[in-house]
Amino acid sequence: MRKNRKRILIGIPLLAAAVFAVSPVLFLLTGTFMGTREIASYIGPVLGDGEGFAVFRLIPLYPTLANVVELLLDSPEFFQMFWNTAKITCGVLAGQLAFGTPAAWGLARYTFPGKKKIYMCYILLMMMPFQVTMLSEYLVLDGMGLLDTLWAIILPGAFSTFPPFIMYRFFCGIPESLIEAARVDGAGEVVIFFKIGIPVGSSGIISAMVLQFLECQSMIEQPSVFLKTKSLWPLALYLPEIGLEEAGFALCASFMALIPAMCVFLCGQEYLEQGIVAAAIRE
Amino acid sequence: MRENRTVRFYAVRILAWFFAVMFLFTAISRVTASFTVARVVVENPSPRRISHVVTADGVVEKNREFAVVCEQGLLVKTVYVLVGQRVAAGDVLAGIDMEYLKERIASVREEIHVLELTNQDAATARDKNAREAAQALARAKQDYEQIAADTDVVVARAAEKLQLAKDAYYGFEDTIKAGAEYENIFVELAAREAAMKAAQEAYDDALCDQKAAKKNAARAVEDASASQTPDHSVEAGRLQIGQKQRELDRLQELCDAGGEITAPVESVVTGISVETGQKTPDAAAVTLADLSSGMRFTAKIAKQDAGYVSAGDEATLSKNGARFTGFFIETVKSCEDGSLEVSVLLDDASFSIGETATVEISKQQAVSQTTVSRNALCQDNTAWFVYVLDKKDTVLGEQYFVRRVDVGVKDKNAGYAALEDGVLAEDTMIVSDSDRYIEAGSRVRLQTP
Repeated sequence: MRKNRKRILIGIPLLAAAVFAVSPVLFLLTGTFMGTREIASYIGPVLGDGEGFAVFRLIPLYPTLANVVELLLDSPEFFQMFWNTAKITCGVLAGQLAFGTPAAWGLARYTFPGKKKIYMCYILLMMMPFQVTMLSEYLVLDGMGLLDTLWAIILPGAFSTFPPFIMYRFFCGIPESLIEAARVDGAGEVVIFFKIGIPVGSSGIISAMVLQFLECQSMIEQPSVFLKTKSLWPLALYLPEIGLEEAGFALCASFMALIPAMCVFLCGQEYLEQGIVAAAIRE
Repeated sequence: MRENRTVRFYAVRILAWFFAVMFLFTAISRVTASFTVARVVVENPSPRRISHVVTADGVVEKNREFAVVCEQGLLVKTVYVLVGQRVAAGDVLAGIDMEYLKERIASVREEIHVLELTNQDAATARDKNAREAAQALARAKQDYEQIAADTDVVVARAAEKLQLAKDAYYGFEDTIKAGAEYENIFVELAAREAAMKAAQEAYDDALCDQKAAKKNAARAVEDASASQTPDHSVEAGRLQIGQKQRELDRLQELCDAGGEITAPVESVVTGISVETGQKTPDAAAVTLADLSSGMRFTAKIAKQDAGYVSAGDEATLSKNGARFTGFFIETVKSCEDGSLEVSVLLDDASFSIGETATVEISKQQAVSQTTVSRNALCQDNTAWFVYVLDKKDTVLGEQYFVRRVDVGVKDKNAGYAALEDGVLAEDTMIVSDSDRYIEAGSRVRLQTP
């Protein structure tokens, strides 16, 4: 009885907080099926087109599928940007798997001259915001002739330092005895990496991939600086261009952009929790 | 754990389906966009001459017309021609009744005879009147002279008596001065003065009478002279005889010709004023169009094309698929409704009066540096404008959008329009055709030829 009461007392505020945290997603879902006029009447005061306070309904007064139909059938621009985002995300994740994972393994399992300095460089680069490295990246990419191409986004992302840092923590947690046993059995370093390192450290790899996926979905600074051609823009640059007169369409597009992130999150939720812990250690 | 696996399983499936759906709708939205995006044909402004071809339907008419006149009042026996009929020189147009004509000739002859007799009488009467008038005048003059002479005598006698009276009176005065008796002198003086006065009065009366008599005689002479007014009746009679004679000559000529009214030259009948059984009118019996003077083609040019036609312009006529060149606009006449009536002189035997044909007048203006096809020119309530293609970098790549550009039109015909220079560059892409409705800001794509 006391236990139940305690649960209720703790649960209610937590539930309220959870609802409060989820409410933006609910607004997105509701606004997807709301007409533009109805949305404008609710949030007009916020955007300067009305008086009073902004309100919102969870259930639309006049639900409509017009926004969904317009998005799916009459907006090739949305799909162009969606696939740009998909290409960038796949490229970055593939790059991270190809280069970040071995780098993290090397830093975690091997001792070599300058290891600490390299690790410190990783930490340093991880701490720097994009604005600090933007100019150097721009000059390098321009020198390589990669500006205004998707490689200008993919390559810096593929060589990002944060995922190796996440994976490094997990690779560090693999018992040395397991590695030694494999060596005794005659396994080479490559075999050890592929047969032991990756399977045992998969949770770290997946959490790093999930975090990197979420970051790729919301990447806005790099594309706005390195991409001039609009046909290469990702979804994160398209959504802010939609105005109040297409508010319903904007909410629908945002909800559609949210779906892959939600699915990936659900897939890697368990590993993500471990990754957040590892990120907390970084903080 | 199992729960997590289930959640992961369904999440992966949802994600896979999501990407499949997105792929499908990517294709569908592209297809839909291709249907809704207008396909346009573009052109660049180019230098060109704007030519105006004005066409109008008209009819071939006579160029010169003349009248065949016949004596008025003759009975028409037969009319041999119809309006529009072509006749040669000497062809009979109408026939007059010979009996009636002969009766008419005889009647005219009698009239002439009567006139001659009347004229003779008039001449005789005139002579007699002249003699009488001369005689009256001579007598009046004689009377005047006689009266003048007679009255001169009377006046002379009165003057003589007066002189005597005066001499008596003034002589008595002298007697008085010589010393005569007082009482008798005054009586005598008074008597002599009275006599002098009476003589004076008689003299004055004589003068007045003479004056009055002369005046009356002079008036008689004047009256005698005035009675001699000019008499032209004989000359008028001669003129009437002349007219009748000429009429007789014409009638005789017509009679000698058998009562036939013929065409003097090759021509086309344009009007007939005589009818069988009716009398010939005072006006022309038949009007003919002289073919030797050519024909005239007339047509009406519409008001909107009136500015492109002027006298001297080269014209081409066409009928039944055949074209005839080498003609020129002879006259241009403005009509009340703003249209123009043009005429072309024809000397080509290929045309005949009453035939319809089409005239084509082509006029070329000076070269204009900025011309576009007429389809590219649009108009709304405010101005003329064209749609210009702008290339923009969009999410879907480089795309074309149309932009409205207001232009000034210098000249235009059915095919092209000349625009004012300086608005459009040489390399400007102008939309000349579209497979669906477009407006400013519409996204379009180029139609592949």
